[in-house]
Amino acid sequence: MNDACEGRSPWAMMWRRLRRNRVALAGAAILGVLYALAFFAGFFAPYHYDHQFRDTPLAPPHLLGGVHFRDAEGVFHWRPFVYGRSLIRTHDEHGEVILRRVEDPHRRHPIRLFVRGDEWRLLGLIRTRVHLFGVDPTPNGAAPTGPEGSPDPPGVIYLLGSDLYGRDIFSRLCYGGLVSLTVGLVGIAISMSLGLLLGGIAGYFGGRVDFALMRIIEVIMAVPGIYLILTLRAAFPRSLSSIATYFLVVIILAFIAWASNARVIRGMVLSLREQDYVAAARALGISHLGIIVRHILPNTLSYVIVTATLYVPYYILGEVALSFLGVGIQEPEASWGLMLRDAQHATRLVDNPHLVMPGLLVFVAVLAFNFLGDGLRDAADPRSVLKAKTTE
Amino acid sequence: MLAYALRRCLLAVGTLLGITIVTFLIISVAPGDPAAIHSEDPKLSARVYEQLRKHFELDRPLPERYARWLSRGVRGDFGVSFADGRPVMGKIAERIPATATLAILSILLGLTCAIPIGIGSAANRNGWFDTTSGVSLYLLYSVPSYVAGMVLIHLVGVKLDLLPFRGMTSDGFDSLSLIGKAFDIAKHLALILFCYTFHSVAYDSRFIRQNLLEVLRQDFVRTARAKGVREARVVWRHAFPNTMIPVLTRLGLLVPAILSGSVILEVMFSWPGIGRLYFDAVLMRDYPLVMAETVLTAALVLLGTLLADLAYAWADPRIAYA
Repeated sequence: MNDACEGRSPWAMMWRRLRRNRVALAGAAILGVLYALAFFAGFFAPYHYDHQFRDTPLAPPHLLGGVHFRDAEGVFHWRPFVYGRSLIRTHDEHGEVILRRVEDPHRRHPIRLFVRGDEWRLLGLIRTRVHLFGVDPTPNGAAPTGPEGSPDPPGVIYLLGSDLYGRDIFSRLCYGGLVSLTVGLVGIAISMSLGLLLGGIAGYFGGRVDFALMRIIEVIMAVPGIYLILTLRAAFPRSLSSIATYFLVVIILAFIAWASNARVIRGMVLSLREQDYVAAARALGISHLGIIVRHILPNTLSYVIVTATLYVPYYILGEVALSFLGVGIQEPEASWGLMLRDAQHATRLVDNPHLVMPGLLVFVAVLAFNFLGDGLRDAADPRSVLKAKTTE
Repeated sequence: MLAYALRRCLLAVGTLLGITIVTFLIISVAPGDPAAIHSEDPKLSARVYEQLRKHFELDRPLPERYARWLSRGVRGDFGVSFADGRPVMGKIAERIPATATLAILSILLGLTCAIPIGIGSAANRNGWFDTTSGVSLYLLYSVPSYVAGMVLIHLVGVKLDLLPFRGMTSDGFDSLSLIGKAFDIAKHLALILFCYTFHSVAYDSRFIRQNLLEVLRQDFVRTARAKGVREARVVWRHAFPNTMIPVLTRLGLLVPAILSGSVILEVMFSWPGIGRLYFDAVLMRDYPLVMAETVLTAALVLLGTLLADLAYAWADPRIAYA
């Protein structure tokens, strides 16, 4: 036997196949960025998610032409800056007086890295005030004055614009990602554990246990998902603490999703339990639960990983839908669905297209999960190499 | 076959009974009973509140309420709505046309798009059509329908002012001629129909493509080609009928879709359909309406899957139900 024939574990082969799939890797990279933004939201976001700047509601994004290097006099600055915005009175096309916000060339707020701002907690533990970026609150590098010292509103950087209350949308997207993106991970963990355990039990024992569990699953699957979600949501008080709402949303979504997982796992276990090694384990006197958990379920792992990845979007979309309908995450917390509610008013959206940003992020996250999930599925399929050879 | 269908029906009745019990339990433990919502006015005395509870039969024990509901329900009487005292069935019936129109058109439109796309891309695998349609449909599949709805309302509805996006008919609908009426509804349908359909087009066409690729690899297809059958005929006549299963599954879902609709899209487009009725009923704790809608839709889901399963056996003689 020579070196070339050295055995590779199925996991190593799966990893090798996945590494060659550039689309799947791109999906993984996008998800890495999104989750990093969410987990370290306090650092990447220049402001706290509920920091309101009442003077500048619905401000357009600075990223679209709001970040300057050259000031009004034509002087070039190495450090990019944004202008403060002032209210002016003008007339619209019908001659009516309207108030408009324009950039004030006299108030220059330089952008700095690692600035001190709103307090946040690193991983929920360590208090800090350092943010990746921000702008000087006072214009033109003037020394900070007291709260009543300056007549102008403080300088604010709105990378992606601001919402109705003048809150920074980029900051809220980071914090909202923490809610919307982790809903998927926590939900998958719950529904997959339930699906594995109950599907494993149903498939392994068969008979009456199987029949009873299958009927329960049928009951859950026969009611259209959104109906069941709304009904379950109605069973709890409308206003809950933010953390309670979060877990309620996760648990409701997981309660519905475990059924289909359990059904597939059961089907796999039905054939796995006939394998010789299961008979061997039984002969060795291992308990039923031990056989299910240690010997049978690990064989469904590749299905579990692939399905889990492809199922995360269900949770993200579920949270977004619930919050969008007003029965999920509540103000002032941030979540992508809740933020999307602001864009619901068609006429408001016309003047402020940046309000649709959370929808774009939902799309990107779902797409990335689909990329990665499909890549994992191809990589987990032992026939995929063979298939590629026979068809190409 | 008949025995199988009967057995399935029997199981379905059991499942349905389970659904009624579960739903009844869930909405009964919900806080804030409808009497409280209706007597939110603080000036309303406790006596009125008690009267309302009596009126809604909320003062009786849970099992008794369920038994009463069930005995009336099996006779087709789902009670009256808590909100306005009208019979629940009537309220649902008047919402069916809006949702059913949407569902039926969506599935027809979805399949007429998905089948040619799926076949076209499978017949010329990795060709330009397969690549472009594959990439664009993959992207489309990841767009949440409500985000698409929002963007379309913004662009087509408001900015370009091309299509209406609120409700099903314009003001002054009744004064229009028959053709005018049809045209008016069609205009209102366009945007919501697109949002309702594009997911299934994206999914079904890839699914049909995948299945067709499997079939095209089979021996009988090679035989047909060897006989000198034209390629178009090989694909459409020999291979495609063997991919009917997903189409049938989709048609099986049509049955419940007629009665369930999409809550979020109906809310977004102010569509006078059943999804919105349900959403409002849940918020208002209108139990009779919630119960009736859940049971009816679940019954149709079960019926739809049964019909689809029976149709599999018709489409594929190798499937036999013992």
